[in-house]
Amino acid sequence: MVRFIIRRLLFAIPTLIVISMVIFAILDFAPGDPTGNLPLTVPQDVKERIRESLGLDQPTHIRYVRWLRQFFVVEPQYIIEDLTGLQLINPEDPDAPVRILSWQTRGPVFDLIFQRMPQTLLILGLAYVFGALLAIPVGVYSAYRQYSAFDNIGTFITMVGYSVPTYFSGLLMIIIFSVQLKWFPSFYDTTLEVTNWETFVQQVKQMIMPVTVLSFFNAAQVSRFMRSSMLDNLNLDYVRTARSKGLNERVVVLIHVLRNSLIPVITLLALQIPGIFGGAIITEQIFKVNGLGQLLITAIQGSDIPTVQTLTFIFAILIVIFNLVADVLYGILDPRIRYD
Amino acid sequence: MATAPASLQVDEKFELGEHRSLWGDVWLQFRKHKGALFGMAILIVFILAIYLGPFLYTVDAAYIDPIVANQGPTLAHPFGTDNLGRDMLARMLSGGQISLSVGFTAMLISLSLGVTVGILAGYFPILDNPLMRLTDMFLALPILPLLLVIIMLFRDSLRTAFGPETGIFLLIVTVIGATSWMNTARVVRGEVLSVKQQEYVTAAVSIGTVNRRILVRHIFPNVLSPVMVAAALGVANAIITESALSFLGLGFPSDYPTWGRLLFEGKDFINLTPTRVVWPGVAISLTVLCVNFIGDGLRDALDPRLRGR
Repeated sequence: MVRFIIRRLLFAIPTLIVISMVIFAILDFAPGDPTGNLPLTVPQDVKERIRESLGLDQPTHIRYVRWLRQFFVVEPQYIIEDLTGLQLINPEDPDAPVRILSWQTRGPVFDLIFQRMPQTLLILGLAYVFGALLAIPVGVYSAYRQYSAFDNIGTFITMVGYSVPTYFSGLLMIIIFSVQLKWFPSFYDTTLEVTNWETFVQQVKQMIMPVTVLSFFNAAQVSRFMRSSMLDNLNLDYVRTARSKGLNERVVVLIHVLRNSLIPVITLLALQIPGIFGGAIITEQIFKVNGLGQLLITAIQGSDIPTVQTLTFIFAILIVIFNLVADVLYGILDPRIRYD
Repeated sequence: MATAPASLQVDEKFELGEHRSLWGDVWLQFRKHKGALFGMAILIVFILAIYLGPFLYTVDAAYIDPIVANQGPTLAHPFGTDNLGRDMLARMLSGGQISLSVGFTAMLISLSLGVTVGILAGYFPILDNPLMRLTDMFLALPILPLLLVIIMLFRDSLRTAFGPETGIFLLIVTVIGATSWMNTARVVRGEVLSVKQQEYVTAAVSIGTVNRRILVRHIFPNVLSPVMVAAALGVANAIITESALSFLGLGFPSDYPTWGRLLFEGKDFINLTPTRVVWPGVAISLTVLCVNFIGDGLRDALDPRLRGR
């Protein structure tokens, strides 16, 4: 098992290097120039100096290596400084390493990311947890009573939830609950600080719609998977053995079958985490949450290349990490799987 | 021995019955899946409406009439009008043509890439490792951010090269196809690995059939069932991805709208004319729902363990 994890980790490194190259290259070889939108009255030599100050005068491979160094060496130092209060980098030093700077704000990209992270994590995290909590019981019960009314309706609803894109279900909720009923605000106010009961209620109100939309979408996928995994297990011999031993039906289903059927579902849940971040790009756009997804969209629209590169690469790292987590979890949970 | 005659009888009954082909059986099983049949019926109605509708409903989708702007459904404009007074029904019909053709073309690209990679990786052991590592790498790419970036960056140059409509169509179809083939490749590779071991392939090899002919004549037809399911799901995926891109403002331009684009434009007028969001949203959701149901039905119908039950 340890050997397998080490091997997978070693394989993750070249994967990440290739992905970082792809991301860097796509953005770098693309037509378009940060000075392209400047007014024509700006003289050519000033434009040249702007390009120089952004580090654009150097060849691609040097900028790529510099970006990698900033990402993996410089930025972690600053993060450690922030977390522990240690001083690793002397700010007076003229040779102090430069952080990855956003072209839009001229501030460090990682500061932007840390500003945007809480609201994204709050909504995504809640949606993820609610989704799983809703999906697993529904999946279990539908499989146990296959072709019952509950199963037929449940399967249909999950199919709908799986097919209706979040950008439509979100807008539909806005039409119904914000425009018609005026129960919830149609956009998310990040400046709201929870200090007392009223602001707490306000915070809950503005979170209900984005969390519902995302968790319903996640739940649809998970419960379909849960149902089919339960169905695979319910007809196996060990279930018949358990029943013939005279075990309580509740024990058979909830202990024997459920535990075995959860194995693939848990790996799916691990694989879903990076996917939810992708879904957040759209959900944040619908409800105007200024989280990471919205940061990415504004950076893309403003051709803020360092921010886009860094965010996209972070998404890629998340995918690689959670793929690894899913594989390892599968190995731990299912003793039939042998990696060596 | 008492059971032997009974099983013989069953066999005879099958032999005496009508001629049964594989696709006939698949169709019989497919018909049992109510959702799939229903989905297919609605999808056919949609396709007919979208492609024949413009001949019956001859309102120009691009005609601007500010006097009737921002109307709800009326007799003259059954689906209402947008903020420039363009007729929403006509725009929905022309948008549907683009959305569906994006879905099908992107699916074809993704499918042919996936099938090629899968067959090559499964059949030629030398290619297996490099191709599967490539697939893994593509699976680790953050697809939506990359699609957004690529479209943002290359939109203008393609637009000048191929014209505003063809340029964006080619770009979107290619990037969606090129980033969604990985699951098909994995499934096809798995099937090829097992089909390769069958006696008929060994027989073909032993009489000196060339690789290309084995692949086309023996391997490909036998991996067709997962490919069909992947095709159905591929259309749904492509339609959803395209409308997500359009919804983020990075898809088709306003004068060449898809359903996703109509949704994107409608969302700013949600207080005034909520129906502008409902029509394209329902159209996207229903199409995807139907295609997913068809995919489900196909999966059941093509699974020999389920068929005939």
